[in-house]
Amino acid sequence: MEDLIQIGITLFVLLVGYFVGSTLERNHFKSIRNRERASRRMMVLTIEDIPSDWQSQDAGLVTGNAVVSLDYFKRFLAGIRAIFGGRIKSYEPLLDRARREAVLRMKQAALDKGYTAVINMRMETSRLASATKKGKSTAGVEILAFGTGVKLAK
Amino acid sequence: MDISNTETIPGKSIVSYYGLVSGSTVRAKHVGRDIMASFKNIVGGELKGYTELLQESRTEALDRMIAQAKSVGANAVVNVRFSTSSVAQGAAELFAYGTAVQVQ
Amino acid sequence: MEVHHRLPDDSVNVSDTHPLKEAATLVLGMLVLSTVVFIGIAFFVELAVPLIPIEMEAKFFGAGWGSVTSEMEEEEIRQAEEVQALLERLAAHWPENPYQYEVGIIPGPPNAMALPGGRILVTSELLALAESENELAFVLGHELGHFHDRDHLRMLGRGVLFSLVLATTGLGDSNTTSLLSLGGTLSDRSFSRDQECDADRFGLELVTREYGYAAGSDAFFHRIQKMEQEGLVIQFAATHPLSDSRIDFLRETSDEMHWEWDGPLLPPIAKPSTPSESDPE
Repeated sequence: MEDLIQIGITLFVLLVGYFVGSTLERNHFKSIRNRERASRRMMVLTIEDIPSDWQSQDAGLVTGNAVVSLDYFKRFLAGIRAIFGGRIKSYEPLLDRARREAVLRMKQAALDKGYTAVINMRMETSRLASATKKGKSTAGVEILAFGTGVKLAK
Repeated sequence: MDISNTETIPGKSIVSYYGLVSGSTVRAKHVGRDIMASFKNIVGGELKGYTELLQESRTEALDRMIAQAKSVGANAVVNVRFSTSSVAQGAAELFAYGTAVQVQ
Repeated sequence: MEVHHRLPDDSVNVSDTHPLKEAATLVLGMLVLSTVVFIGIAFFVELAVPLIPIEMEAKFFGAGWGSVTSEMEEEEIRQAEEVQALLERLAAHWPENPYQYEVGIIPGPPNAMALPGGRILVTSELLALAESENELAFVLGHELGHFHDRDHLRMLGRGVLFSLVLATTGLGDSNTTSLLSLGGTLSDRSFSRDQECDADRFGLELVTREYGYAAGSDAFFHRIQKMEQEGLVIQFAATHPLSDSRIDFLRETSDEMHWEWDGPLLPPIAKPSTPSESDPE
């Protein structure tokens, strides 16, 4: 009987995690796509210097970050997947979202400072250990995108 | 598709820039490999299973990045960087990113 | 030098498997895995149990028995002695009996348990509610059946090994563990059902040899059945086959072996002197 209640609660949380999580994910992807389209004139490059035939008037560091966490349903899937091994599909959309969000925020920061492109962009990913459970589980993942914003004049 | 981690593709010149392209994959090794690795940790040395797994995943991340570069019409990716991070217990993310360009 | 403002294909970094499909595959795989692991452990235990000498049982698994005997009141000690006398009469019909028995009485709903080293726990409510000696005799015979097959060691071995495997392989994540142990519990249940049937058969045989007939053997199950219907006992069904099928099983076995069923019921023994206290009615 107690087992049944336990399983019931877990199932309920799983379902809530799945429905709310996938709705949020869909909306976030939509918003990311819209903003990417709007900001696509801002060039982001990983090369270290601007091409020789361009000129820059101004330069400075710009950053953007995003911390994300899996929903309960996806964490459940990831937990089982870790036993069998293989591609953890449930993590992919999450990291994709976080990375694009971080880049968009970096672009926004560059735009706010009047830059027209970002060069030498780098990305960092770090896991934030949870304060509970002796740091064994994950509180979230931070993605940091940073680069040098430049104001180009041709 | 030319891939490099330098500013340009040596011997060629860049004619146009397409911007950032990236590829990523998240993988976990199965429990059997984990257990074998924990035994291997006692004596040290190469963990062959992990070497293979990470290399395989890195290739996949690179392939995904190349697919993005193709989708914008580029024929080379310069200044490619890799980053490997442990996003959860037992799971590693392999990420590759670079600048998509057209070279001649 | 030109710059193209095109957006790259954003679908390449995300696999397009539906999460629910992925979930179904994984959960199914998990249940299969845990069942396979459990059956593997069970076979190992089957091989290992006969190798453990009887004397070692009490030495290694006997911890905690002292607290049971020290908590028994004077009256319970008297009851335990009466139960033990009956138990030894039954055990006399099992010629190769290797155990020295010891009976302990604990509070709780009607039940009895076989512990390693020939220890048997009987609950006070079982004694208070028993309406005949025959009813109690069958319950004790059933526990002797567990000793005969050394089921207590099997159960213990399976439980300990299964948790050990879970702990050492690092499958300790709370979500996956609950799923794994669900698979384990389901397999354990089918194992323990077979064990219960064997023990029932053995108990029935001892009772028939002692009294010459098996009357009253099913009284305990009738009582549990009634209590289950009234919602008084629920946990019993979790580890034991349903009372209905066990009653049928007893009757069928008795008929098959051409054992006598009907006979007079003897007055109950080891009754508490103040029955109203522990009697739920």
